[in-house]
Amino acid sequence: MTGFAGGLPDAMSTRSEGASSLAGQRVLVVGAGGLGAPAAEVLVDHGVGHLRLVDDDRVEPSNLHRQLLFDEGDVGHPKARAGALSLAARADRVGTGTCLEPVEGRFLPTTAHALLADVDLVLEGTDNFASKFLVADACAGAGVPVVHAGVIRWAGWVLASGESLPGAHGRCLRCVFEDVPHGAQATCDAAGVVGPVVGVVGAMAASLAVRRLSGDRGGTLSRYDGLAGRLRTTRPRARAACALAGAAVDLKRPGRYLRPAPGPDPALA
Amino acid sequence: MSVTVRIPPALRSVTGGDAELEADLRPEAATVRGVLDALEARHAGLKAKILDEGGAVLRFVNVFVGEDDIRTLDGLDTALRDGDDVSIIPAIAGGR
Repeated sequence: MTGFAGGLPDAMSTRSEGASSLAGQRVLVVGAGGLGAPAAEVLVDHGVGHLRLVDDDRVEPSNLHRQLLFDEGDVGHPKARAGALSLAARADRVGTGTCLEPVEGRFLPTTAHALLADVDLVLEGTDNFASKFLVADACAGAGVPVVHAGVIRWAGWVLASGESLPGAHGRCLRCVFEDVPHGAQATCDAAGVVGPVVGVVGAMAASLAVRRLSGDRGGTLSRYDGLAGRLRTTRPRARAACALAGAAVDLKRPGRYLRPAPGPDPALA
Repeated sequence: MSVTVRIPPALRSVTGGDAELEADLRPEAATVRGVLDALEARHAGLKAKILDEGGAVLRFVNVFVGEDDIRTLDGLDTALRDGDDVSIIPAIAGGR
């Protein structure tokens, strides 16, 4: 291969292969923001057949530098709808024909069942722990594989759940991070995120999603350090004592997903 | 013996910005607990971001030795060998 011009045909042929294998697949993207937007673009480019995009937020001017699905004309509009329109136009341009389904709302214990209906994979790019653990629990209960992603400032991580088989729990978010952190933790609202880092991590999450949809059923955890430019990937083991190993999960138990109280973040103080 | 500890960005305020720390350990202190004690002596406050008041690893923090989560090994008593690589991995949630 010689330089960019030499690489372009390969990139396009890869997209064509993806389109043929993923056209029958349906993906739910939770969060149409800094992580969900670049991830959704990759999934559209790979030809995922149906993409359900759920978000209850509206586009703000401060989003535009990193949430490249949106432009000035989208400010004030629901992210799910504006994002789906942008992605549909992209699907037309690249010729993959992905069907876009915007859902203006939140992934909640009361909406989880309907949002997970008929999907082959979930890509979770929300900005809070409560939603991350709720999505993990709901996906484990429904037997749907999930890819999580999170970013703060220059640091990000992505985690692909492993396949659960009878008697063998697949590694999941609760195998790695056991529970919603107690006390106040940083979210991007408080600590900020770096635009290129969410782009990188969102694309990494989409890459794991495409791998999973293409048959890779292992679970991986990758950490990206944008300051050092370093990526480290491990395959964490399923934890026998994981709360999701073999136990039914009550998504509606009061207090299960309490959001952290406001206050200084102990990890960053 | 010497091990390398990788510090995530969220904890580097305690280490003066250092992303990697080297720790020389006596053989009898060559455990994850031993390396955290050694680093605490140089960077006061680091342990409080990794362990709870009872001395257990916080539920939303991971400690890996090489590729393995110490929860699947011997926890804080996991033995370290010369050249081991210890990573501290806190959960972070952002990305809107």
